[in-house]
Amino acid sequence: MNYYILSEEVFETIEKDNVHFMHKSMDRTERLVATTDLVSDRIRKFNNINTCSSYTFTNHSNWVGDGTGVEVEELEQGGYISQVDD
Amino acid sequence: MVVPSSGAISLIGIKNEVDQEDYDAGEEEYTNISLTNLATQTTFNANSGSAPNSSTPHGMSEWYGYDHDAAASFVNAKAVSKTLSTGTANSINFVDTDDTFNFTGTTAWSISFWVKAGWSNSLNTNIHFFIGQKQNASYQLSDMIKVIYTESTNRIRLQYGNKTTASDAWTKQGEWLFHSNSGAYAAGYAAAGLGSTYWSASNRGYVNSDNYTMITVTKSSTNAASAMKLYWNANNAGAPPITYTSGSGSPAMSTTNNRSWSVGSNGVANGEIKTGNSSATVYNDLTMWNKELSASEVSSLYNSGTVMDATTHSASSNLVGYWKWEGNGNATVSNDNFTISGGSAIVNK
Repeated sequence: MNYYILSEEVFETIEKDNVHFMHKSMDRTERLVATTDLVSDRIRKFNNINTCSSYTFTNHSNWVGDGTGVEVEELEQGGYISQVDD
Repeated sequence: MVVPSSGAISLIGIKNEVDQEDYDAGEEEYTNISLTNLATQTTFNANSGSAPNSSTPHGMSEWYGYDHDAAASFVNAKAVSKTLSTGTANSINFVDTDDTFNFTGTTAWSISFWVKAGWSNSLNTNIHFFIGQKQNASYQLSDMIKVIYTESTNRIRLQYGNKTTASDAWTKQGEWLFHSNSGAYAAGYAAAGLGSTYWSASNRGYVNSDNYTMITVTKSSTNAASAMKLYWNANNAGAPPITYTSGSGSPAMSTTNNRSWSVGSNGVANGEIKTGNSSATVYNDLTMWNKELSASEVSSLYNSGTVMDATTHSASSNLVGYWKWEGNGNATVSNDNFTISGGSAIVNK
């Protein structure tokens, strides 16, 4: 699995069936993404699931509104459904 | 039978009511019965709608309608508010030490509560409604059952499972989403009444007259995500359209470990507590049942939107936990009282 921060525009171009997890930034302009695809046009790439989660806790004001972050458990479980998750 | 409210009444009948909570208990060989003695020596039940006063003269008619074992009338004036602050100092929790609530993957259970959404649609994370987990657990998943709302995806998630070491985790999870009126998601869409907009304080969907939603999750004794059901008020959203299963189901959830149960938290043992953000999320009557409530039983509990006395519910013999938040976190059923800490508080509903 690959963990990225992508712009909204780039996210719209990737293969949604391969997206395992997606979370919008607070301003809705970026997407935290777990996908099996390799994406070269990215804002940030994480080495693994733990650094990805940690980044959201460190930069929580950009990613969640309650001072915490996206937990590893949430990234593992995924659950992104392209038909219903805009 | 209580003392009749009119007509002729007898001293023996009144004595029977006071001694045996039954006006018609029959004639005993009482001696020295007098209106004065009955009026001055009886500790009156304040729940009775009528009772004699202690002033002379003591008239027979003062006893009309007296009920010595009248139950307290049901009151629903208060609720519990989960503070917007985080941290264990602001928790609403108790530790079950007698295994009353040690539900497992192979037992049937139901959890129901009323919630008034206090989060905005920009929280962008999870609202943690209710969780039980092993006391002082090293892992959040240890003997865990939790109900959350994932605001960023507009889904209610019910999850349970266990983890005792770094490598033996298993979990069953079901999710219901509410903004898609198609296919497997249509039942959730119809049940919640949120439309295409996500659930928040400004879009509460179907609520009662106090803006509360009764959320009920049930599970049969089958150890599977498909064994769960969700009800929004009395509306049956059915089995989860989205499921996630991981691990083998072993080790089984413990039936003997102490468990911490917490409202508005993702687990006391792990120290984090998440809640709303625009205004406090408020919770009202919480019930736990050791059976899978049926659709008709959930409908009965919803009571057309009027919070009812769950001890009078048709399934009350399976009611193992009941907290009304009427002034404190004390249980009406079970011996486990919630401690309400820090900024969390009892509030008017």
